[in-house]
Amino acid sequence: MLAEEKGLRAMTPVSRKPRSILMRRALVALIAVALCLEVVGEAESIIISFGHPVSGTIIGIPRQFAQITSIAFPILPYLSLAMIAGALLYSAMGPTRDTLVRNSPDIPDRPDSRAKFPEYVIPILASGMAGFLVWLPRSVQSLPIGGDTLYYMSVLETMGREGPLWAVLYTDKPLFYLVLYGLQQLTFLSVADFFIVLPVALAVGATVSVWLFVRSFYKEAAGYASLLTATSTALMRTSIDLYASFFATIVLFLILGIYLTYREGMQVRQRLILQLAIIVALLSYWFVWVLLLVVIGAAELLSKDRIKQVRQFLSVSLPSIAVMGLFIAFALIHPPPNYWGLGSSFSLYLGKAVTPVGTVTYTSASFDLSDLGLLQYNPVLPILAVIGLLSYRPRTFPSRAIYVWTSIMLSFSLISTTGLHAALLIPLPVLAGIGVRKMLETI
Amino acid sequence: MTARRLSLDRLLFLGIAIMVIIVSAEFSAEFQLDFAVPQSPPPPTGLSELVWIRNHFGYDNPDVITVVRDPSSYLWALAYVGGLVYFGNLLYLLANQTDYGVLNNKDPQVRSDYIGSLQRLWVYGALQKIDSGKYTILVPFALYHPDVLEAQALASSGSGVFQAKPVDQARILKLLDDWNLARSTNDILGVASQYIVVDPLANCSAYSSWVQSDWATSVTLVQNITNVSDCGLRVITKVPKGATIYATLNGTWDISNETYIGFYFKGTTNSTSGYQLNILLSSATGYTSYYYYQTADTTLWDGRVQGIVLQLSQFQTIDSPQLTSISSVRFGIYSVDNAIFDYKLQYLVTAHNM
Repeated sequence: MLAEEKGLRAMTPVSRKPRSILMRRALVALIAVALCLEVVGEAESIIISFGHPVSGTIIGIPRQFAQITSIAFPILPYLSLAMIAGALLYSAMGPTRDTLVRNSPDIPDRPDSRAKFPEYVIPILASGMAGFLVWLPRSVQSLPIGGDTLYYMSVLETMGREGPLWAVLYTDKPLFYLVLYGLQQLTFLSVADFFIVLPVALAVGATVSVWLFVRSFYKEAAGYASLLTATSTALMRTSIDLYASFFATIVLFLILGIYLTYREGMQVRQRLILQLAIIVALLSYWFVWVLLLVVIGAAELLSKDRIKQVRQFLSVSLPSIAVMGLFIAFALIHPPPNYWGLGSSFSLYLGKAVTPVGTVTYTSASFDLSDLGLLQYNPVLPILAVIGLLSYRPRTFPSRAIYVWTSIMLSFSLISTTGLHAALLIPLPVLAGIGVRKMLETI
Repeated sequence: MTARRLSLDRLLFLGIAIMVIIVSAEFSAEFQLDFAVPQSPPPPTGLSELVWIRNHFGYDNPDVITVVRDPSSYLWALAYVGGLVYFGNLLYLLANQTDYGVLNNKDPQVRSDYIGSLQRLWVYGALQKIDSGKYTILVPFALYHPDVLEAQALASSGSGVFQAKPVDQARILKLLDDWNLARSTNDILGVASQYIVVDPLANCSAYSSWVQSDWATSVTLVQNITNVSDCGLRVITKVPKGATIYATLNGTWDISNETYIGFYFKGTTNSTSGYQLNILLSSATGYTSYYYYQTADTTLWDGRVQGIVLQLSQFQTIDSPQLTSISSVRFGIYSVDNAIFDYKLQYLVTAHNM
């Protein structure tokens, strides 16, 4: 199949007219020049923000170019939203064309041992970039970064005094806090220092988990997806102070990656790991657990042999549903003020109740496009994501899952602050990575 | 030929892909430098007060209640002091009454922080025993800024931190009533008069000595702003963009024994951008050494008469001014844009606790 595709690709340019080739090359050259100017202009802006002046007529041109292009940034969220929504609709319902748009196989056809070295180099490079970008502001700030960090600091300090069980009794993310507390105790770091190291570690974890996830269904795009995740503003925003969301997103990517592999072989060991991992997701951030069940469930319902697949999915998700049931039952038997933890905290997310710990971030259900504001800081990512959506049609299970996932998160972003507080849960970097790979495949 | 073109194309595309990654990293670096910052960091004095509480009482001390009243301070107090942090107005806590003003606040974060802090106090049994003497109620001054009425229930504990005095419940309830009265009438100066000793800074004859610093400012004497005093001042000033225009009263004052400065104020403006009221107390000619206070509170300019009492300890300093030899008082308006300000000033006083 690959040979056939290569043959097709090699043949296609020969049949094209020289004029269209020229046009395409001119366009590509123009994009390259624009990107060059943007790269240099942004670099100059960063150097200036560190207090080093950059002067000179020619040197100033890229910066002016970057400033001019940034004028368009405020409208980008709306444009991106329209583009992504359009791409979702078109890809799901539009006509199928056998041109540039081809589905890659779920699992790569051939193992390539020669490619192993560069294959690992890219996620290592991406992890390094993510770690550096997340560490960067922490190297220049003396106080804890982000409002929620202060809350997390108080939780760890309180657990230190009142014992780890406090997280189970008073919070809806018991496992997440227990992991945090355990890591802090193991590293012997002060709470303040721990929250300098933690986001860097989570950034590396998120980058690697994206790589593992994409690798499980589209090996060639995994590197690009991890690089774009590492350099996305969604990861940056999450790293500021949304540690629970960060942690749960890593778990989500890992679960999805394992599930895609499990789906092919249905191994018992993988099933057990999945059952455990889904419980971990529930006990870390139940919103992500719900998202996971809905995304996989909906994608399985759209499968051809849906009854068998849904049954398989239920076999891995039922233990977590049972655990959730137990927590709810416990909360009903021991309502507040005896127990405020998981099971009695759903109304928090609707802004109806507050535990004695207080809410970290208040979420209100309202139609608010400004929550898509994160899209405005990097115009390249949404464009590549649209290319990814258009070129990777929802015909296979992984692509269907990503489509369902993107649609849900995009809809959520319109009615809540999800776009800001769970920006990393919108799989734009994954789609953008696929988009880049697909573009390179067309050459 | 085709192969060469293909490799050229591939190189170009690869170059674009690399540049996409680089530009994404740059956007992210810029995002981080702009947004990955401490959330509304408290002033250094506020932070050192929290550190002082932590060093003296320990983190998460179940017998200590720290009082703050803005969402940012609440988070900083939780992180640095932990335990029982009350978010809200001090007198409501001391009186163990629900503050419906905060509970029904339009800001959901304020409501959430208030309910969260109250529930925690309740779960730990603190609310039920608030007047038992078991709890040390601490107010970090730079984070809370207690007003003159709240200050009546406080005593200095050290390093800018105040502690609730053991006061009988009847007096607390009286203070709470007066505090609510002062808020509803916008006259904390009038209400506080029963708790503090007020000394007029200038008598009526001195009001004619106020001078303007700018030709576009008119300073005139007026009457009947309030019935507290017969004399007052009206200043109409056209403030150019980015400038500060002053009205000045020169004299000689020793206010080293005073704790507060107060006055009645009624102002309006056509400004739609940023502006602030500056109050300066100079102890040197040419304002080389002075105390200053700045407030960007826009409610001052709502056209209503407001009695204001400021703690002198809230004033910042330039050089080393002396309260024993204040020689000039200035009221100034700073405006971001060109705007007209019209304000009346009356009953400029200093005061100290009884």
